[in-house]
Amino acid sequence: MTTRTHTLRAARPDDAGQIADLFQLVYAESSHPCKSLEFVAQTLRRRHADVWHIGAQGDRITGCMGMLPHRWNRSWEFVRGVTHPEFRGSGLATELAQRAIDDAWASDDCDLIVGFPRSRTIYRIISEMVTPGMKLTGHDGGINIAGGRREYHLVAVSFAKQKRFARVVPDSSLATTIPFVKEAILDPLDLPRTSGVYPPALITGEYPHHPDYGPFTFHYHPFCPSDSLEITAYTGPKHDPVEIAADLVRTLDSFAYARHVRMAVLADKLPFQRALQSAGFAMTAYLPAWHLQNGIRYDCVLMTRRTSAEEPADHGTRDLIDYFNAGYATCLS
Amino acid sequence: MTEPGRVDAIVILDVAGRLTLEEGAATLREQVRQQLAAGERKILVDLSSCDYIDSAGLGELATTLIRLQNAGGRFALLGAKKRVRDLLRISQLLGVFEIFDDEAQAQAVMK
Repeated sequence: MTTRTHTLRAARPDDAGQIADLFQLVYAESSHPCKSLEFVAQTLRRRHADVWHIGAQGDRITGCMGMLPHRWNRSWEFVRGVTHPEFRGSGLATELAQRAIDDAWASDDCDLIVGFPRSRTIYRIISEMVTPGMKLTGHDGGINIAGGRREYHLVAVSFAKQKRFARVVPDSSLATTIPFVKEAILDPLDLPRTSGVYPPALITGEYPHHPDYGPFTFHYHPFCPSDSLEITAYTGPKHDPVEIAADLVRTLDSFAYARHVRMAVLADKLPFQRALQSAGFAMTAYLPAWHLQNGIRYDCVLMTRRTSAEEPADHGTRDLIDYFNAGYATCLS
Repeated sequence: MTEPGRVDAIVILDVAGRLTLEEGAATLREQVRQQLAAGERKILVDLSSCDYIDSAGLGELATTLIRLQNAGGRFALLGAKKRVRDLLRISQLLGVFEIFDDEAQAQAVMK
């Protein structure tokens, strides 16, 4: 089977049933939302919000790859990549990934691409077989459930040379003081950088601004199988990072079923990161240029805490996960 | 919060004032724990006198919902004011709760 037999095209609303069936086939017992026909149909109707690319043989869908634009920080996220088991190894995923990357870089609202590959095969595709290749920056601590088991996903980012932006790295940040981050993450990326002061925000993410919402804004669905909670901002009045971290930990007591908690913390907020570390969080990924404020980008780190006892599956990426765990363990010591 | 009421096997927990990290969230958690330990499986939280819910309060409601569902029970909210509904909506939790405007309707549905 070769990719010549596949047609690549944008997804159409009437593809929803086949796409949902494909995800049901591959991700049978998982938290993947695309198993739901209603969810897929809804995203296909949301033009200019979700971008789907389809591989097909005649009327049969053989694989798909999507990009989810995040307007709040002008990032596009690789999502919904799946290949029918009969067509694995055919090169289809690589062609779909390249098409998705080209589409993202051609858009006016994409400064960076982020991906969360769940296996070494997918990592190889997006790092070695597409242009520009994505660079690993860590892992997600095991957010997702697939096949009834929690699993690690790697974190990878990509920047296009033609997309220039202002990025601030303060002298006191991890980026300049910690050899691991500099050598393993930032030097290979060769991003623009200037010195400057970071904004006071501790945590960044997408959330609806509303005067009553807080002090910790979040994404959480009580019945999502992943039992994951994302903290997206601190909107409260306190300034002491240790006090804020203590309030966060007490707030997490109210989310007793959240088995995985994550947040992107601005890279210069070392006292807050250390307070989170004392509360059981670990730094698992560096997120270069992730926070966007007033047209300027600032680096962040991904802090995660998992409370489920089971070690997540790694799908052949254990050496990479261990590498990042060892490297980031040096950052807050 | 006031003492729980009980009508036709439905326990009604009143939340007055604020349901926050500092006020009410831990109390609600303990009351729900006691009711479950006592074998109760239908809980209605009356929010008609509740003015504000913070992130801890929202988490507590979501956790109570899961706890009741896991126990084969039923959980609903009663009399949520617009300000509270707005908070449930912007936190994307509005759709996961059964919310009733009057107690008789809640009792009829939850019976």
